[in-house]
Amino acid sequence: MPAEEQKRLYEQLATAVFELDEQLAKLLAQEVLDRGYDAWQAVERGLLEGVNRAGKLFDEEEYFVPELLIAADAMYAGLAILRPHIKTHHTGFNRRVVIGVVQGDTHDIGKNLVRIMLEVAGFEVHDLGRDVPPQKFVDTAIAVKADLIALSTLMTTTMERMGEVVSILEAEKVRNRFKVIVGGSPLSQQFSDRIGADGYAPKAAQAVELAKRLVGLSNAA
Amino acid sequence: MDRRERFFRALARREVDRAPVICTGGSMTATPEEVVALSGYALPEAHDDAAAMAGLALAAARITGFESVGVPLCVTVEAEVFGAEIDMGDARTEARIVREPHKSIAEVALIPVEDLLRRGRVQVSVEAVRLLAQNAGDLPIIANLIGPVSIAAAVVEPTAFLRELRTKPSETAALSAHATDFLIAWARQLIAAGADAIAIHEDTTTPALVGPRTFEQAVVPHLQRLVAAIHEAGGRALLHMCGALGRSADSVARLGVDAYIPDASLSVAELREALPGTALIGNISTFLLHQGEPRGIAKLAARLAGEGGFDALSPTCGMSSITPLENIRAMTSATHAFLAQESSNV
Repeated sequence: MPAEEQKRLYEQLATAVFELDEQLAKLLAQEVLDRGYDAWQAVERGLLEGVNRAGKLFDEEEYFVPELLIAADAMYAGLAILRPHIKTHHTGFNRRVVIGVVQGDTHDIGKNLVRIMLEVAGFEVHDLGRDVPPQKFVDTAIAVKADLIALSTLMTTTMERMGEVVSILEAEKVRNRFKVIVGGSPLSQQFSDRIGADGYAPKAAQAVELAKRLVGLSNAA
Repeated sequence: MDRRERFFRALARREVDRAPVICTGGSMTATPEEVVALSGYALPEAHDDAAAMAGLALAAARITGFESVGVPLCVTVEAEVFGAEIDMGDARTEARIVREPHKSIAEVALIPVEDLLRRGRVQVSVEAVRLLAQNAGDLPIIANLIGPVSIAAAVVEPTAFLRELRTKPSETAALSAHATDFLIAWARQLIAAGADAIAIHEDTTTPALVGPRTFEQAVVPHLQRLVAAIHEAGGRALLHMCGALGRSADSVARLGVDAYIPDASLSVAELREALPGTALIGNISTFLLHQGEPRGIAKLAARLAGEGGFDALSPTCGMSSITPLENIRAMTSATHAFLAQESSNV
């Protein structure tokens, strides 16, 4: 029953990612190719499923940041093997995000988690890194024709930089071209409202839901 | 009761006439722009000059009414001596790490502690404490350190380091232990120079971020050793971390710190239950300090300092550099006003 075997292999791949076993994820990804199974299905039902399960445990506070990062490493390792064999029409849904940590702050762990979860969800992510000047978010978003700008900060002292990004978008009369979302432990929905952002999410997984909703892809995978 | 005695009594959870209002410095900045402007000193210059560092810390206490002085005024001394590239910022922007020296724990070579103690601004901070001991009168002197494992996460790029806490536990433990050795040696110098208390700021590897298992295995042993060494040298130990304690409350309770400084999301009732033997310092929201009105701030401060409240008051995190001085003064004068009101009721 090849269909059964195929399903079992995808499930093993998901489990390898979920159980943080990068070596096993690589071996299984290679096995998918060796057996001639569909690479995209292995990504979707195996690798991405595994990271999503890890993300769920993260939300339930069973997994924490180290576990989620290692699960993502296992996913990316498998993806590197499978990606060359994915037929092009499967790649994402053509929505672009510019993401970064605002100027004055170099704490980027939270931003990295959101980037991973956005990539898993199929967004094309342009990561500007950390300590990013407000103008650079705007320039990059215009240059790559982004749908969404995602701003992160951990520090109470740098939150106001987020409002500057919105102000620049308004000054350059491009505010309506982009949705702006904000995140980071000191933030709140009220803060997001006050600076004129389009949304706030308290956790990485919720940031992905928010991003999908804002670009009109709610419930889409 | 002078200010040092009040601070010590609050830490010991003994009776005080009123709760002291302190601000440690370090990650919990006492020097917003308006304070710096009135101080006669400048940032970033005061980060790198003992007389200016001590002078600004002392001026900040005088201007704001905080009943403590704290140095260093930033969170980058440790990362700098371990090789990170630092941007010193200015009065508006805090000093910060621009680049960590290593991409992986595998690249890290341990630098002898004696060399680390001579590097960067370590001796500047020790000298600043010495100057404060001469000039700060009855103000308690707090020296600020980053927690050992958070330092390790500034030596290796932090996202990589967090993975390696799990995938390379013995290598990361060796670096954390080395950072602890450095902190112990530095803390001894700071206490010998006149620091009354050492505030440890665990800014990356918190229970909320790494989870209870990793916190217990990879963070607690180093913090325990540091706290014991601070006590042995005659200092008090304070600990500040962001985020909830969750299932790590027992681990934190076992660290033996004199006082815990939580973030604003935690209530005094749950903290008392989680950390029964520990003094609690908090919990005036830095948002409120930045955007609130003096009246509301004074009310909150009086409430938190009252019955069943905190043992000492403090901003709950680093104050934004544009926090109005008027709001800070509303906080620091509130307990005096509260006391006055109490005695007028008698």
